[in-house]
Amino acid sequence: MQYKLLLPEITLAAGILAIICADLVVARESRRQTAFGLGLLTLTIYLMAAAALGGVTEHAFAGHLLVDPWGSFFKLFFGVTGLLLLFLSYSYVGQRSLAPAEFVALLLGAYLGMSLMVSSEQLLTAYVGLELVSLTSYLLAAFLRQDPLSTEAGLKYFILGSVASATLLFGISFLYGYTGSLELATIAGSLSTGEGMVVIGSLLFLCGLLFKLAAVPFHVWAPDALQGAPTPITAFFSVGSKVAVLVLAGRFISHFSGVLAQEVHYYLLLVAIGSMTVGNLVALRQTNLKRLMAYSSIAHIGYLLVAYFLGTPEAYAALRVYVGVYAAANLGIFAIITWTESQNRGIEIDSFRGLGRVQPLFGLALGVFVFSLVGIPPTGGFMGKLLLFMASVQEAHYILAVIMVLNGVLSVVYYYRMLRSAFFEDSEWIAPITKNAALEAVVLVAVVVVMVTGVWPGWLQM
Amino acid sequence: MIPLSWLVTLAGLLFGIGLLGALLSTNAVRMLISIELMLNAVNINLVAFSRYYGASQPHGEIAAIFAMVVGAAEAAVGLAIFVAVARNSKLIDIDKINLLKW
Repeated sequence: MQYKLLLPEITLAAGILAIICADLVVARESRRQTAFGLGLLTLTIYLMAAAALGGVTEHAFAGHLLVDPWGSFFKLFFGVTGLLLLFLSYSYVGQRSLAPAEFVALLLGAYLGMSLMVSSEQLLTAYVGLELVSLTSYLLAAFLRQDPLSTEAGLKYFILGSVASATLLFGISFLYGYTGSLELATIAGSLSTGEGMVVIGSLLFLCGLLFKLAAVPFHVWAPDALQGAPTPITAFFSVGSKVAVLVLAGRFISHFSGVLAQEVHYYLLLVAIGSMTVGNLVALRQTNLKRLMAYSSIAHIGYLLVAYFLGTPEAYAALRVYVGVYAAANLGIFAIITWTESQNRGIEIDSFRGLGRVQPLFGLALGVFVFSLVGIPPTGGFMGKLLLFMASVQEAHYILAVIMVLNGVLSVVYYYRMLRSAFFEDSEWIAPITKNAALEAVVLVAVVVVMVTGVWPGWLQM
Repeated sequence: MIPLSWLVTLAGLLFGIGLLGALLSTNAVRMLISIELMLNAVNINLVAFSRYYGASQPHGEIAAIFAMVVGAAEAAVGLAIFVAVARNSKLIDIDKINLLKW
């Protein structure tokens, strides 16, 4: 039965319907528990289904779907980050009295799209998955309906995101026009290098994807969307949807690496270096935590694109480690931001003042995450960067390695400001300071992932 | 029969007009219309190529139907966001919506 291969996605779809229906019948007071409970259940089943398909490599549905270990790894990744995101947003949704069922259903809808994207080998399926992610993302960005910042973020994200989607689809139409097929393997097989229409098609397609990745020069929407969106959704944008797009871009590039003109590869390298440098430079002058994290994620996307430029098995292995650790550290930092925000401290860097005193666990964890994002041993971030450096040195791209190291040094400056604020500056915290078990759990899981990867990165490569 | 190159040129022009409109206009609704124009350009392209390949290769026409459905959903989402923005700021003039920058 082919449907077995689609089981993770079917689970998600059923879960979404169940959450919406359950919301209609349960009492008003227990809506949040119901929605999040069902969400946790759905994602747990999703994880099990994805794990069961772990070693399978099979095409299904007339080539629309490809289940393979590479995609299954990212499905597991999505399942875990999704669970952590639900824990992260539970108290946030309650505090702001947002509509819980809509929130969880939209989030799971985005995960459904991401899950389709990572296992699609056909451009149309990939497009539908991407649009599912995009449409839910626009709505989630504007989820604080009364907040002008949030609706503005949603508006900007929507307009620029739709332009990018249309560009991507235009690229698909040219690739189809030249080869008469929508399947990546067939298209790549019937192409020859340097044909005008192919270059236009693949460039338009890549531009659309790079836009969704917020890589320089298509990054202008990201800081606005990430700053205005609700904090858990900001976390989702930086660790969820971007990773799915990255995987899709990887499939495209690995299929086309033989036929794409050399210029396209160097275009990719330029985008990667530009993202790193611009992301890190502009992050230097940010004071808003969410905006700072947005620029930092632009920089990290630059590192990840380097792996695609290199295209060696070592680089892909490094990418897995890097993505895993980056997501853990980012989720952890966003859990801490969510907590400080819930204490009415705002989301400026200064909001962290005295964090190490009032909540030592979060203070120490922040240290671990910052070390990891900068790439200081013994954290996992160091391993991710090290593997990436080794992969680029192996390919004799010494200048690239040097640029990556310099960028790492640059990023120390702004990450350090967070730590300085948490440990070396102090300010009055308005009592009572409330603990939040769900956020503490997220932070602890993230710390464990980061530290374990620092010692043994192999577990992310199994 | 209209030559394929004419149709592709038409699609290219429409796409360009849509892109310019989406990036340059200041009214959100006009931007949405421009985006729809871009999607229609894609549909012309897909259907034109599909006809070029003949009835044995209907992928393009199927893709055009998918693109239309997704485009409709996109318009619905966009209008919902516009309504939310208009309720908060009483206008949808993009130049005036500038709380977020740098």
